[in-house]
Amino acid sequence: MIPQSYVLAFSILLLSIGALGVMTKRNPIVMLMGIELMLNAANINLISFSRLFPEGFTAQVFALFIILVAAAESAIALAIVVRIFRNHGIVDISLFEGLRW
Amino acid sequence: MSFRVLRGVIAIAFGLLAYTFISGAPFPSEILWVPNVDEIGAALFKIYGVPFEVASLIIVVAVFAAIYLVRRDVA
Repeated sequence: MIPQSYVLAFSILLLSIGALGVMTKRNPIVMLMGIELMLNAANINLISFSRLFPEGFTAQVFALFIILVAAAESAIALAIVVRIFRNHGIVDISLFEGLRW
Repeated sequence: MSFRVLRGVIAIAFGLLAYTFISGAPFPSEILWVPNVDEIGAALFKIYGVPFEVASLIIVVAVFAAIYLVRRDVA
């Protein structure tokens, strides 16, 4: 069996890679991939802590819902990226300041 | 460019800090392994039936929104 700390270390590695991709890249597709990595890190955390208490499976169901919402979010975000590319011919996120505060 | 490097350093430092915290935490040495696929499947349709249906509606709305967003404008 895998120790809990190993699973959490893997989750932190995924979260850090995702945060690195979101914070350093300007391509929105790469940023989306980073967001997905962070969501999967959260899922791994939920599953690993759920397996500490085998009589409860709420966290596992919650992870299923997170996967579902992540799929919807990816579909919308990719559609927005396609729309931006069609309108401007470029998807560099730093060039779009229309929604900036 | 320097801000991007700074943000990358922040992300890596966060990972190292979090690993430092969990490496010293008193977790159990092994994770319990109890198959509970049946219980999860039953719970999805009984306890979490309403959230399951709401989530399916969210998926449908997201798919239609994505199709609407990427449609070709016919002038």
